[in-house]
Amino acid sequence: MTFLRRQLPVVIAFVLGLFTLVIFYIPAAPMQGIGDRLKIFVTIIGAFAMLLGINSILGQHITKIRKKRPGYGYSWVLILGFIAMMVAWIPWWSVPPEGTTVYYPWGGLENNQGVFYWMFFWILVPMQATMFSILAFYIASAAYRSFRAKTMEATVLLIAAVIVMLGRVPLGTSMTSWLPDTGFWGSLRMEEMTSWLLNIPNAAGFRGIVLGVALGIIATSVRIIFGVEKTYMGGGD
Amino acid sequence: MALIAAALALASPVFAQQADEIAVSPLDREPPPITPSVLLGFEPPTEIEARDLPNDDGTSILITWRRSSSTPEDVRYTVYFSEGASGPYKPLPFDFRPIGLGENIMANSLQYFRYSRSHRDYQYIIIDFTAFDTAAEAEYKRELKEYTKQQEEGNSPGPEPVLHIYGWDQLHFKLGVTSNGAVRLFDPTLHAEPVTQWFDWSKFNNLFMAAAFLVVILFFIETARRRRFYIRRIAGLDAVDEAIGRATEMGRPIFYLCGLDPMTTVSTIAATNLLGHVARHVANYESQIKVPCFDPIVMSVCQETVREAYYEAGRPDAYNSDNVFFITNDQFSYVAAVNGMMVRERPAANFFFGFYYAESLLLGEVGQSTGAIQIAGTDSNVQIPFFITSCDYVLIGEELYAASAYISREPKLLGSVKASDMAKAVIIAALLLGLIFSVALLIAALGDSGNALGWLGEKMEYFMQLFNEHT
Repeated sequence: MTFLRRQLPVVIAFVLGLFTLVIFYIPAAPMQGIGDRLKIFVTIIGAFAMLLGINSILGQHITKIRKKRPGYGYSWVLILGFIAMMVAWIPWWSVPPEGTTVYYPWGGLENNQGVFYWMFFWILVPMQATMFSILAFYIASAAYRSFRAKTMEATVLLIAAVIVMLGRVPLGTSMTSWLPDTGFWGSLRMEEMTSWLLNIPNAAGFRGIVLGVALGIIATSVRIIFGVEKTYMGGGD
Repeated sequence: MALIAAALALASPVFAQQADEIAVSPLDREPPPITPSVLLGFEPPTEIEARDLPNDDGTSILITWRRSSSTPEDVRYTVYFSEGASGPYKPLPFDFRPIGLGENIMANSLQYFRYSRSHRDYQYIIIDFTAFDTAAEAEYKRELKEYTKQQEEGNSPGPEPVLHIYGWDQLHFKLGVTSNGAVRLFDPTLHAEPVTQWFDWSKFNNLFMAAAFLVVILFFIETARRRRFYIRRIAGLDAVDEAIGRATEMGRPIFYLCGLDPMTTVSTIAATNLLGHVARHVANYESQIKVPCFDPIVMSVCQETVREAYYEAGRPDAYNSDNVFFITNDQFSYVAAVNGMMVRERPAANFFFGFYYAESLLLGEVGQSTGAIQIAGTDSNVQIPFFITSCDYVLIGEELYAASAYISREPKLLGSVKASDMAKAVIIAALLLGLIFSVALLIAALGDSGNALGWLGEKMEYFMQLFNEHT
């Protein structure tokens, strides 16, 4: 039992991890073919795992309804929505002959007169867009908190942010459009300062982070492949 | 109009029986604006060769030539093929865009060729042999469809179509130039067979660096057994205990999110590693942790991780599998659900580890508005600023990968973190060296060789000249 729980996963991680690493350097079709098969395995496992996910979410909400916990009415909405989308998605028709279009009242994203299409584009998509649009307000509130010039660092951040924001809109660039295009004064034009801030200090910082991340990814991968890191299996290090 | 005419002409089968023969496609509507004599009026390219494409899976060949300096700018290089050395030579059966004079220069394509200054005068074309098979299959399907249609309409469909199989060992090619539908093919006839490669030599430097880094990591892991390594303080990880303690005192849950990427992403693995440590602390404090998941596989891994952590803490009875659950794998639906739970349940602490996209600020701001202590860690560099503005502590980039080692203080894990630091030191040293060399070259270019940097720049110029002369 310990072998199945502790040693076998490490052995699988070692063999497949090393194999995937090795085939990166081997262009021959047989090896790449095995690599492609492994990627298909991931997709298949993902498809079956979705059943676990559905079981998890439905189980949660059915329990909530059964125990009549506060807000259990929303659980009904979820379950009915789940069933409605699933039933509407099932294509209730045989595949029409090539070159012909047959419309049925139900099913399929391809059928733009079907119920599924209607629910997807007129219920789900607007709700997603609503969530995304809230982001604009949160950006404003986060910017307000961050740009309060209480410290030296916050002041630098505020000045840099104002320059970048102004350099990105016509109103901002028009403020310094009277400056010459070239030379020292040209570099003080709003769009030039924006470009400098983004391409020099900002890019340098980003590249530093990316380098560190790349090394961190390699180190973590080596730890997993060689079985040094086992926390992802739960418990002991 | 001329371009359309050229495209139509290229699509038509133009046969060139002899080398240097002009083959002009029939253009009934208007004559080509450039006469075929243009194609005859310059020196043909030299050193035309075909060989196997190196470092590939054995499906492609490479045609190279030294370009002629007298070639007009509007002339493009093309390739014709034949299923035998004697011809006839036809346009390639698949889409092929003839290449211009400035394109596919060998010196600019270091993925296929080693750097050499002389390569600036050479161009190349890669011919993928599998494209012949794909084109034959498409043609067969088209003919079969037409055949079936004729049969169904009661017409005489003619002979049943047959799938044409190109013999890769029989394919011969000729390099040519084309302009406005006119084509001129050059000798010699080219033939090469693709060979399967079992090692990609273009990745040798990558393999060397990876092997060197691997040795360093294993060395430090081994050293860590005997020696204690110093790791700088990471405030965000020190605050984990504080956050869990706060949740215990307030009697409210802790929310732990593993990001939106699947289990195949290293940042998600790092997040689940960290979850094991956090869950153990939570179990010890007898607090409650909730893990809403975006991916069902991540959910399964998280359930196991949390369960094992509770077992290890000696509190298996406190583990509730319902606390690690799947929500949805739709980005904004997930955010809406998690934000709703945050507002309703008012968690005392939120942990956001793993890879995030546009939802980072939505999660962070809502968590902030509920008064929770928030710790984030992501390697998504574009989301780091959003977490910094909305969270109390943020693990930036690689700190996420070091977190597991930092919290556990396991010597072997600390060793790998130290190895990353060593690799970083080497990269910084290389960058500094590059900076010094760049400044030295600049100073030497200004003609100031009196100081040390100018002297260095002058020497470098000399070595660069030597390098250019011999490559």
